[in-house]
Formats: sequence, C-alpha cells, structure tokens
Amino acid sequence: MKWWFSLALTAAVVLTLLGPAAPAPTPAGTLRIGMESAPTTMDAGLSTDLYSQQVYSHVLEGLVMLDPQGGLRSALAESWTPSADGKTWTFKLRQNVKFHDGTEFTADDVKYTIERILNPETRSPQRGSLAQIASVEAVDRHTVRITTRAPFVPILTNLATSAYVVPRAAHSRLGRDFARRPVGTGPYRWVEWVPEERIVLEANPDYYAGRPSLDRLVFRFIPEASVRLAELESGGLDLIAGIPAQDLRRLRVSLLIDLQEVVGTNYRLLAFNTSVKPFDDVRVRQAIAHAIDKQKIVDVVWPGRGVVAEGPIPPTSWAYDERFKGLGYNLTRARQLMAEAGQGGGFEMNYLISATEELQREVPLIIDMLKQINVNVKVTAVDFPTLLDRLLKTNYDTLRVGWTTNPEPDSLLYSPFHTSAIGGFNFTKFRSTKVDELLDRGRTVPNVSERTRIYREAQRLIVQEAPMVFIFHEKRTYATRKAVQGFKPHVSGWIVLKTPYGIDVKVGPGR
Amino acid sequence: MGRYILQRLLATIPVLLGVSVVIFLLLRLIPGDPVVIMIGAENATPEEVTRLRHVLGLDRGLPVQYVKFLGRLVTGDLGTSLSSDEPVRQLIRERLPATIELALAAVVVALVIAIPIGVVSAVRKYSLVDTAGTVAAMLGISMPNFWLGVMLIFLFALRLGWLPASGRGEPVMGGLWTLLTSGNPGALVTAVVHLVLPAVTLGAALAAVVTRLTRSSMLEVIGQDYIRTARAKGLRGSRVVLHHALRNALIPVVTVIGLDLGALLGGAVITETIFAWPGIGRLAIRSIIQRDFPVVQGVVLMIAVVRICANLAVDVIYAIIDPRIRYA
Repeated sequence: MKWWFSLALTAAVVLTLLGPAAPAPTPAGTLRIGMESAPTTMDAGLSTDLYSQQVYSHVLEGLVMLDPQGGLRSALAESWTPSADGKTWTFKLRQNVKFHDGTEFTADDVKYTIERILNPETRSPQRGSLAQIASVEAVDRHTVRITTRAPFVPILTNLATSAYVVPRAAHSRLGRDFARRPVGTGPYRWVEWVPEERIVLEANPDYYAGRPSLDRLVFRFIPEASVRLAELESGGLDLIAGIPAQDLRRLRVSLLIDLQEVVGTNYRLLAFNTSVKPFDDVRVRQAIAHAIDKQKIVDVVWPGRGVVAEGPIPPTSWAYDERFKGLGYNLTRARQLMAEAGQGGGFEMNYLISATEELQREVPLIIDMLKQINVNVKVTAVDFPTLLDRLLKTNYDTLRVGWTTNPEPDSLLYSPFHTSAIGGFNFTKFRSTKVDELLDRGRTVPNVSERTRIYREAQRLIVQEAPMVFIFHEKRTYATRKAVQGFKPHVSGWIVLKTPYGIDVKVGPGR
Repeated sequence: MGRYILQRLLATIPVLLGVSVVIFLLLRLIPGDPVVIMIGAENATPEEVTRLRHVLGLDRGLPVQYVKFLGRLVTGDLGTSLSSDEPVRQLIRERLPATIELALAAVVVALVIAIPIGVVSAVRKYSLVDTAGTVAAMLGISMPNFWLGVMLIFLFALRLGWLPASGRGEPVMGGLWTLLTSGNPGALVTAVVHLVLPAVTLGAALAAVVTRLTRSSMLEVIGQDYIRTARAKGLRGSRVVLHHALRNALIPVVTVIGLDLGALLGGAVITETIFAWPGIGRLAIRSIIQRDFPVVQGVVLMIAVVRICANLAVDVIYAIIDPRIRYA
C-alpha cells in the first residue's frame, strides 16, 4: 500500500470525525416518528401487526374508527343503525369523499374490501375478526348493509380494527404493488418507503375533514430503545413509543420532552392449566392468587409502567368496575386455602416464562412469595414463539403471559374464557356455563349500560374461579418534544394525528 | 487458475445443499407457529389457523415442503414471505447493498487504523505508538460492539451533536454519483456522516486483530535475510519497509480480512440493530421473530454464498500478492 494513500484516508476519516455535520434542516410542518420495528406491509388486509397499522392508518380509513379511549367514532360512515333482530347493520356513507387517486369513494369499495378479506384465497390474517359477517351489500352508492350470522355487537369495533377500505379500481390494478404504495381516503397520502429506513407521507389537501396541520410525516424504524431516545433528545425525532424504563424518571422532569401515558387494554397474568393436578382445585388457584403481592411486583419490576389489576377489565375500558376488588394479597387466607385443599405441605410448581429482561427480574419475587405457602417454583424460560406454541397446546402447568386486545370487552374475555375456545386461546381450559351465557349475551345486546353490567358480572365470576392470577395492566408510554401539540396516546397503541372528530396534531415553533 | 476457480465453485454446491437442509430443518424444529404469530392472539381460532396453514402450504409433510423449496431454489426463486406476501429475493435485494456498504466501510476503517499502527509498532518496537497500539487493540478486542455502539452514540450524537445517532441517510454510491454528475456534495456528506459511527463500531474488533497481526507479521519479515540485503544495497528505510516488507507481511492479513468479511456480513446484525441501519440483519431478526421461514432461509443462504465467495477471493488475492503461490 502506498503510504500517502493510507495517510489520505486517515485524514479523511479524522476530518469527518472533527467537522460538525450540518444537520439537514427539517421543514416546520414535519413530524418525525420513531417506531420500534419496521412495518411488513401497507396492504391492511394482509397484516395484523401494530407497526404496519401505525403507518397505514394515516392513509387508509375504515367505516368507523376508535378514539384514544377506545370509543367508536364515525369515519367513512356517517351513521349506522342495527336492524330489529340485531343481525343487520346499515351504514350511511359520507358523500363527496375522494381517494388519493381522485376516484370517488362508494359503497362498492366497502363491499370489495370486506369480501376480499373474507375470501380464503386472500390469506388474510384479518379474516377471523370479520368471520361473523355473512354478507355485504351495496344498497346504493352511499349505503352499505352488513349482515352477521348471529347478532354480534362487537362487529363495529372489529370493523374499525380490521376493515380499512381500499379502492376497488386501484387495488385491483396495482395488485401486489398496493402493499408498497397504498391509496386511501385518509388525511395523509403516500410519498415513499425506503425499506428498514423510513416511510414518508404528506398531507392530503383534499381531506374531507380539512387539510391536516402537519405537512409531512416521517416514520423511522429504530429497534434499540436507547437509540430512539437519543434521537429524540438530540432533536432527530419528535415522537417515540417504547421508552426504556430506567429513563422514565429523568424524562418526567425534562424541559425538552413531554411524557404521555395510557393504560392499554391488556392484562398481564399468571395462568394455570386447570386440567392438571393440583391446579384443577380452585382452592389451590385462589391460594396462589392470594399469595402474590401484585403491588410489590409493579413497584419493583414495572415502576411507573403498570397499575395493579383486580380482574381482566382495565381502567380504560368502558366496562371497568371501579368498586370491584379481586383476590388481594392475604397470606393467612392463602395458607388456609392450601390447608383446605390438603396441600398444606406444599408442592413443586413448573412455571413457564418468556425470557425477557423484566420477567427474569420478576421471577425471584414470585419464587419468594410462593415459598411462603410452601410452593416451590421451578422456572423454565423460553422465547416468545415457543411459549405461544406451548400455550396453545396447553402444554404447561403454569405460565406467565400477557393478553392484549382491542378495547372491546368481548375481545378481552371471550376467547380466553369461553368454553368454545378450548383448544384455541382458552389455554387454561376454563369451563363455566354461567360465564359462557354471559359472554354470549354480551355479543347480542346493543345497549352499552346493559353490556357493562354483563361484563362486570362475568369478570366477578372469572376472578372467583381464578383460572389466572391477574397481576397488572401495562401502560403505554410515549415521549414527544415539547413543541408537539395535541398528541394523545391511544389505548391500542395506535398513533392518531388527524381525525374527522377534532384531533389535529401540530408542531409548534422552537423544536 | 481458471480451472482451480471452477473446481472451487463446483465444490460449493454440496456445501450449499447442506446449509439449505440444516436451516430448513432447524427453522421447523424450533417451536413457534408463523400462522398464529401472523393472525395475532385475539383472532387466532383453530379453524383460522388450520385454514391459513393450508393456504400457505405449511400443512404438507416436511420432505414435500423441502423438495418444493429446493425445486424453486434451483431456478433462483427463494419463495415468498409469509408475513408480507412479497418475493424473498426482492426483500433481500433491497437491503443487501446497505449491509455490504457497512461491511466494506468497516473493513476500510479497520485497515486505515490498523495497518499504519501495526507497521509503526513493528518498526519502532516498544515505542509509545507500539504500547498505545497494544492497549487500544486489547480494548478493541474485548469491547462488545453493542456497548461500543451505544457509547459512540452517547458521545458523538447526544453530547457533541456532531454525527447522527442512527439511520443511513443516503447510499454512498448514490451520493458519489450526485457529486460526480451535479457537483453537489450534499448527499455524499449525508451518506458519510451516517456511515461513520456504525462502521467504526463494526470495524473496531477487526482493526484490533489486524493491528496485532500486522505487527507480528512485519516483525517476522523484517528479520529475514532479503530485508537485510535490501538495506545493504542502500535503499531508503521507508522503501524497504513499505515495498519489501509490508507486501509480504500482508498475506496473513488478507486471509483474516477475507474470512472476516463474511463474518462481518453476519455480525452486522447487531450493529444494524443498534444504528437502525437498513440492512439484511434487521430483516433477519424480524423474520426469525415472526417465524417467516422463507425469508430466514433466503438470508442465511445468501450469507453462506457470500462467505464462500469471500474465501475464494482470498485464495485468488494470495496469488496476486505473492506470485510464488500457484494452484494446480
């Protein structure tokens, strides 16, 4: 090697290291969002993953949408009414709505979207949440009639999560390419996707609810939490999700950063396989529930990131029961129940967890707590897909997992606790005719206050039977630069920036 | 030489077959159902799972699936991603340039740092440069690169604000092209400032190895008779060191770099994750989590091919550096 060549290269590297990089100026109306993972596809019918949804939900819209608290709001449908038998829903659509390619949005596009998802050839993972739909009918250009096999109220929420409307013409023409450059009716339209690096969207000037205040959205995909935070603090991003736990306290007092949090619709739980001894005995399950100090687990392992759970329904749900108390920490009661079950001498408990940092720190607490009632915990840690596999095959004694759903109480309760879901996601093999009846009825009654009563009663029965110990509800935390105004975190982890019902996020001066 | 290369290329076929069998079986033997992960917990009824598994052909026997996979592979078709329904070849093609750029930049960083230090350390044994170089090399080898990466981000992006913390900005070749065609260096500068931290992170360990190797290899060569002869003929010291000694000392260095280039492509996974570098490592990790079999198979096979090619290239470069090396 020529010496001058290596010298020149060294000099070049040193100079680059010394010279401050001129930061590319960011236009005032741009919001830069740091995501935890890259999306897989922009074809809403082909994906259920949150990261794809976080992007395509700005381009595509459904008939209805969920507001940050999980309430139903009008989107492409102006209004909807159920028939007397509760099986048919008639949607009146907004008129004069245009797709980004200029074509008019009509009832036919809704029919196309839903029928495509239901068609088995489409291999849509969204099909399950719309499987109750028997037919979709375009009554006229601006009226759609959806009929379900049985009365099924949760279909409204499922339409909001799983039926983002695509234009029939453009979708059929683009085919596979639609997944790379979607066309919708939403507040933002497509600009570009650099794989694993960024997606850029720009304001739709013709949006029916008015042009959004933000001119451009830039989504960047940064898997490392600490690096995402470094980008936010150094001014490279404006909004991030997934904040490292150890930084929360510091960020709460930061002058540059705002923290916002919301309790998600989820519960973190310890599950029993109720078909194996000794967990087939309700007293043993209750004893273990009473022996676990949930508050301590939250304080030690998840400080600022969880609220203690009394049952499966979280405080953000409309069915939440603020007066309900679950099986609280009570060692005397726990020992008494163990003795009644003839297990006073204790036993060995196999405990399956997925090997995350937090759970590894939680385990010693659980071991210690259960030692107090002579239960000797034996831990196996595996990766999440393995855990899921064993969970679905009920190939475990006890395990630790989370259940996260959309805000509909039916999703929170039906598949984990209905007898018909045994072999699927009723992985504790829990059976209760009373709970089954309640959950079935909850699907057919349109009245919200009556549904609230039903789900509260179901929760009471489930907690009493203790197929799971409900430990806590996890919070979702977002951090924004102070200049970002009007952002509210969503219970489902969606990022909502502009809606017909009044949300319109802005970036103020002094970013 | 031509015949030798041909032989080596033919020998890669059984290697690749072996790799394909191992990765195919390994993926299917670990638990975890791609279909359940795809549908998501709340919607995965047993009927939906069975139906989707059938549509995707995952309910057929393993030998049938393997033969189909192999049949497609022969025609250069790596299959379709389970989670995005896009051709695996396209997914890899879009991300491979970023990974190659990062790996090459890491090699450049390693060479630029290591060879001068290694040479000086050998020529001025036990000098300040030698001692400092030894200490730095020890640090470079012992530091895990995720730690080094985070520390570099902390210092240069967060504290000093000199360099961006993550992302690629622009491709270097694209930036170079803009500079040459329009005379505007903006894109190239963006590309280089984004590349510096990840390249240093990935190249640090290699730089450490190469420093030590260059030093010991140079020491050995300098002690030989022909160097003394060269000096005795009255040649300048710099010419003896750079022209006569270094050239011969570089043979083991080239081996290590060649072997490491393959390792760098695979090892870039961690660096890519830290710096949000848009390469195949990111694709690989996401696909493993999603149990997206065709994509993981494609990425692993691709890395195997690159490693094989790198090894072959090393053997060829030997012959160029040292004309005495000939292959029968």
